[in-house]
This record gives sequence, C-alpha cells and structure tokens, in this order.
Amino acid sequence: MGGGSPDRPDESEAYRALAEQSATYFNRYKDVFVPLENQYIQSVFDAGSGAAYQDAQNTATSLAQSQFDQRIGGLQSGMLAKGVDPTSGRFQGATSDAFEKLGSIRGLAGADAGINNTDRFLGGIQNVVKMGQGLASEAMQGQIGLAQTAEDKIRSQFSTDFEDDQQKSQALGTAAGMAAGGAYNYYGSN
Amino acid sequence: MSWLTEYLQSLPDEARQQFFDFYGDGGESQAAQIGNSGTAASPVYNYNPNQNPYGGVNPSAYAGDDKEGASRLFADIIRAQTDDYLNRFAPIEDFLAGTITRTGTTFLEGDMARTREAVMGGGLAAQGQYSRNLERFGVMGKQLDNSMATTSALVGGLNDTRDRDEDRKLALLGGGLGSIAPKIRSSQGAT
Repeated sequence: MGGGSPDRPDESEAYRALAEQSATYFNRYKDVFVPLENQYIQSVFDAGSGAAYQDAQNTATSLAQSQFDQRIGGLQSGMLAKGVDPTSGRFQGATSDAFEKLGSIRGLAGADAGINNTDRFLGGIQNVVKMGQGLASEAMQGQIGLAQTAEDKIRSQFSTDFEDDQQKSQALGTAAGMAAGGAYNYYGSN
Repeated sequence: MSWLTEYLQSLPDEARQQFFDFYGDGGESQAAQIGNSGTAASPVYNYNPNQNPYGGVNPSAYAGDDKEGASRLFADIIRAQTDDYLNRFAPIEDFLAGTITRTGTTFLEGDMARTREAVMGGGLAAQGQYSRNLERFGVMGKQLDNSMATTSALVGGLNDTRDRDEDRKLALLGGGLGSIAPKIRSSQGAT
C-alpha cells in the first residue's frame, strides 16, 4: 500500500495500534495537561516576581512585629506592676534593649523570608526542569508553608531573647533596688 | 508533521499567524525570551507559558502505509515531543543553568539587596516605635541608638545570605538540575 520497500514485511497490526494509541495519548496530553503545565510554569515565575518577595517579607515582618508587641507589652506591664518608674534607667534600658532586638529580628526575619522565597522560586524552576525531562516533580512549598516556617523561627528567637532580657532585667532590678530602695516607685508616688 | 505544515500553508496568512501567535512555531530553544526586566531585588521574569508548539498528531495519518505507517507515526510523535521540549522546557533549563556562577548563583545580588533593605528598615522601624512607645508613658524626646545592633544584624544577615547562596548552588549542582547538572559541573572544572 504505502511508502515502504516491497521486500519488507508489513508492520504488525498490534504495532500499528500501539502507534495510534500513542498518538491519541499524546493528543490528550496536549489538550489536557499542557495547559495545566503552563499554568504551573506561570505560577512558578510569579513566585519569583517582586510582588511575591514583597508579600513574603511583609508577612514575616508582620509576624515579628506581632510577637514583639505581645512581649514588650508583657515586659513593660511587669515592670510597672513591680513599681518600676518609666523615667528610670531600668525601665528605659529594658525597653531600649527590647526595641534593639525588635529592629534586628524584624530585619532578619524579612531578609530570611526573601531568601526563602528565592529558594521557593528555584524549587519551582527545578520542578519544571524535571517535568521537561520526564522526571517526577515534587510539591512546591506554598506561601502558607513559608509563613509558618517564619513564624516558628521568630517565636523561637523572641523567646530566647526575651528570656535573656528578663533575666538581665531581674538582675539589674535587684541591683538597682538595693541601691535606690523604693525611690523609683513611679505609680506609688502618683 | 508534514500534514500540519501542509494544512497551515493552506490557511490565509492572518489565520496562520494567529495559529503561530497562540501555539508558537516550534523550532529551536527560545532561551533569550526568559529574562529579568525588573531589578535584581524586584525581578520581573518574562516567559510565555501559553506556547503550545504542536497542533496534535493525527493517529490515522499513515493508515494506508502497512509497512512503515506505525514507524512514521512514532517519528511524528517524537518530533512533536522534541518541539515541545525545545519550546517550553529548554529555555527554562537554560535559565536555571545560567543562574550558576563560580561562587554561587545570580540570585545573590537580589538577596543581598533585600537583606540590606530589610535590616536597615527594621532598625528604622524600631527607632520610630521606641520613641512613640516611651511617649505613651510620658517620656518625651527619647531616641533609640540601635546603630550597633543594626550593623551587627546587617553583617550577620549578609554573611548568612552569602552562605545560603553557596548552599543553593551546591544543591542545584547536586541534582536539582537533573541531567544538565553534570554538564555544568564539568564546564566548571569539577570532577
């Protein structure tokens, strides 16, 4: 019938069916999976955009700020409850130390989130490369996963720093209390 | 895919162009199309994921050829898969391979800029909040001197950023690039 040499035997019916089946599967792949793969590729490149970095960093700094707000409130309330005068060196020193920590932790949390986002973007790119090479792909870590990681790190860091601070404050408070007696009892004198 | 080529040739110019605009036109890798039109710290990557370089393979294209019909059909499928790879995936491989530098990756510059900005911004935010916090207790005009803490955080943050970029390079070369990793390793003189 068609193109081949007359000496060659015909291809088997099963082989021809296999080729047709492969073509059908291939067309299904084109119609169904290629658009989905393209969506995934687009989402990977979106994850590497400036907006994605901004989102990741804003989330991390907000988490850091939120953790700090709770802890600075507790620290200052505790000092006030013990009668420490806000104009005192003890109160202002502890507050100053805490805000120094805030600046560093907030900044590093934002930086860490940026680096994590680069890793996330690259992880997605690697998956796309594996898709193209016909290898298994791994799930790409989402923003929610990144936020959870950031929150865990920040909580841990604030816990350590504030425990250190409170131990130092207590030691300083003891020394100041021995030196100055109750003279710093701001609320007591008002 | 000669049937497709013949079909496309039979279309009016405008319709054929619309087809190529939507599906792409096959052929070689379009690596040059992926680039960053933003900045290192705020990247904007250009990639057209809507490329679909083939219009399908007709399962009955060689139905009358009993001797080589199946082989020719398989050949069409392989060519279509190769076109797809060249158009959609090879540019991304090129992009990923191009991010590897001798000391790390090209992402280092952006990460360093973001780290610098984040740490300096954190220090400034703390200064403003400190003054406002003490004002609530009636203590006015206090300034937070956190320059040492901010500098220390900045140095640590930048070192960490650099270390993590080196780790990233190693992770990429260690398998994240799939089969192109050995090529880059050998091109950099590694064993």
